[in-house]
Amino acid sequence: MKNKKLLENEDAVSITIGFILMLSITLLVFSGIVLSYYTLSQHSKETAVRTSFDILGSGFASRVTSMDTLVNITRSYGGTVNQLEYDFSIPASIADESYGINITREKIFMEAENDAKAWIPFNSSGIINEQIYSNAQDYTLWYDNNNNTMKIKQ
Amino acid sequence: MGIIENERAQFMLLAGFIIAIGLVITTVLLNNIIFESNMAGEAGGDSIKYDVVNLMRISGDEIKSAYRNVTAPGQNASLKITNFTNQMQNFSGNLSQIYALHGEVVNLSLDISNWNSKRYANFTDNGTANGATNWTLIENVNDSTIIINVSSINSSINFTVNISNATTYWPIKFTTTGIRTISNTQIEQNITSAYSISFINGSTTSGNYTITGNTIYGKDFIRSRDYILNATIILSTSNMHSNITIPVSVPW
Repeated sequence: MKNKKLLENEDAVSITIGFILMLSITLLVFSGIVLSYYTLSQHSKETAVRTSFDILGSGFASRVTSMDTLVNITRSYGGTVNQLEYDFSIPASIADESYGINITREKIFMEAENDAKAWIPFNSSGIINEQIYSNAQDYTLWYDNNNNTMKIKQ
Repeated sequence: MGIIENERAQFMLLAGFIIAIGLVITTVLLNNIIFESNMAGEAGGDSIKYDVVNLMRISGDEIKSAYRNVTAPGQNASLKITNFTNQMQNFSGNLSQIYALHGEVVNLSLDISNWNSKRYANFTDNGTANGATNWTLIENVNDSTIIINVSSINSSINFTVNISNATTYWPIKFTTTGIRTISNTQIEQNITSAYSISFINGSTTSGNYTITGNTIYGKDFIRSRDYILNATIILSTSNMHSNITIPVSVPW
């Protein structure tokens, strides 16, 4: 025994225990990898939804603000807005999640089914209080001159 | 045996792993770049509002300019409306062509019924009955001559031209229709420069006015209004449609 080199010494080695150890370690490592991947992907999904909400919301806020600006400028001239419409599309889903958008004159609030939320603050002088959902994609933002209100129709 | 000469595939396996990890990193990075590019592409401001505001501005300027051209001394008075219409049609045609090059449909139409039937504007800030009834035409005036023709007046509400400086004011009240000229001498007898000229209770009175003079900074000025012409501007793009009517005060 003493003459054998340490690396070639196979005393006290059980093939069964070695197999069990190897299997356990492999299972533990694989489970760890799978679980961390799942957690990471979930985190990435939420981040992606929130980022997309921010961009979608900013684009929408930009349109509402444009409409607001045009209406106010026209009114400052003493003019009348006979028609003002913006057509826009929203994606059917973001990261495989359906979502809803709630627009008030102070903020745009977006919420997905996986509870990812985002809101864009802005300030509109006109009245707007609308709710839209991603089950329909094509909408029109329009100005109702009679009631000084911004509305959304499909 | 050296690692290079070792033919038992360990080095090949190691290289394989390194390439695999490199590919994964590259893919993730590329994916992130593409994702970010797409995100950035979806964002962006809305520039159409500037086109609409620009249209309102240049149309207003052109209408004023065309009116001044056709009513200038030496022009044929009987053809003034015809000449004005021709000039505006020419402008509207050019405008449509220019905007068409940017993918936008533009149409400008004018309602000159106030001019045709000699309905003068109200003495409000924008000339309509709904405009601000008390407003200042000009400040820091050194000398001026005011000509006001009142065509319609509500005698119970006195329309007043108020000339004021930092310490005092001179109100000129109007109770009847007719043309009234307030010369610079009259103004100097009542108030010292620099003064401001304001209209008070302008919403119930209509007519036309011309105020000419100099400011304390030595610049000439003209404030004048005969009629309000209504311009309707239509602008359409692939995702935006607007139809806006604005009142344009002529000649200034």
